[in-house]
Amino acid sequence: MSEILQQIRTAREEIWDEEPLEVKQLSSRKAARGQAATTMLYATTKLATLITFLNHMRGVARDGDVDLATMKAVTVPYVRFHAGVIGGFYQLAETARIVRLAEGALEEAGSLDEFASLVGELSIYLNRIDYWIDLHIPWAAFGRVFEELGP
Amino acid sequence: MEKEIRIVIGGEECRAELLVEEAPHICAAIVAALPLNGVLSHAKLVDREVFFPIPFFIDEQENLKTSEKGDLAFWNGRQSVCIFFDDMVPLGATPTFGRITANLEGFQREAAKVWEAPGTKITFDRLSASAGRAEP
Repeated sequence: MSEILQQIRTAREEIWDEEPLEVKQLSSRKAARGQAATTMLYATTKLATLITFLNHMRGVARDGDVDLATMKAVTVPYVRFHAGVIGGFYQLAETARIVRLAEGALEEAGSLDEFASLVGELSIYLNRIDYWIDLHIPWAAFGRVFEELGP
Repeated sequence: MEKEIRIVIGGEECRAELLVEEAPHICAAIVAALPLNGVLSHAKLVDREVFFPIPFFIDEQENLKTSEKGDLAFWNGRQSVCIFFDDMVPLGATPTFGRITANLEGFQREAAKVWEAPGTKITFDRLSASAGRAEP
């Protein structure tokens, strides 16, 4: 358990100041009509949704008035599904590996504290990945074009 | 604990007061992590707000207030330091741990570029740390 936590922390430290290559490559992952804008937008949406879920589950676990088996039953399949999504079309292989690592450890968590620590560490890691992706999205240009198109 | 920190954003150096009375746990967590280096994104819903992620949660919801120009806040939901650099309409009350007290104008010059060109580097550091410039 503590070994997995440390592995996630180490992985996070490696991507904290240096954008991971797989994120740089994401903007060349073509989607519909040969463009990658929707790849980036959908990637950030998927990650943000997962992060929100993880933070919510962390809060519930920290409150303590819940049983660990139910927390696992809700969380593990959800995390597993997202590992498949992240490593599938988006080809964020290292990110998917970290999610799967956490998924396996969540199944083995022996207490709500362990559970909360794991989902928290995973959330922090994914938050950094998501904000790296965010930097590639031309929000200002999107805003201009949207306004030019009108209602 | 430090009651004032130095902020370097792009080519500007600013100072901020830490609200150690109003938000003691948040300030302690921030000070313990100094120097904090970040890469700025612009908020998408709130105007005139930039933010950067930090690698830890701060669960204490201290000094919840409606953000004003110059405020430093912490959004635990995305582990982000948020800086409200000009007049805006915030989404709601946010745990607020500091405010920019010197060279807000310089901060505004750099932060205003982030909407069009995200990725400006920012550093929070002790006043005693050697002066330097963050790369744009």
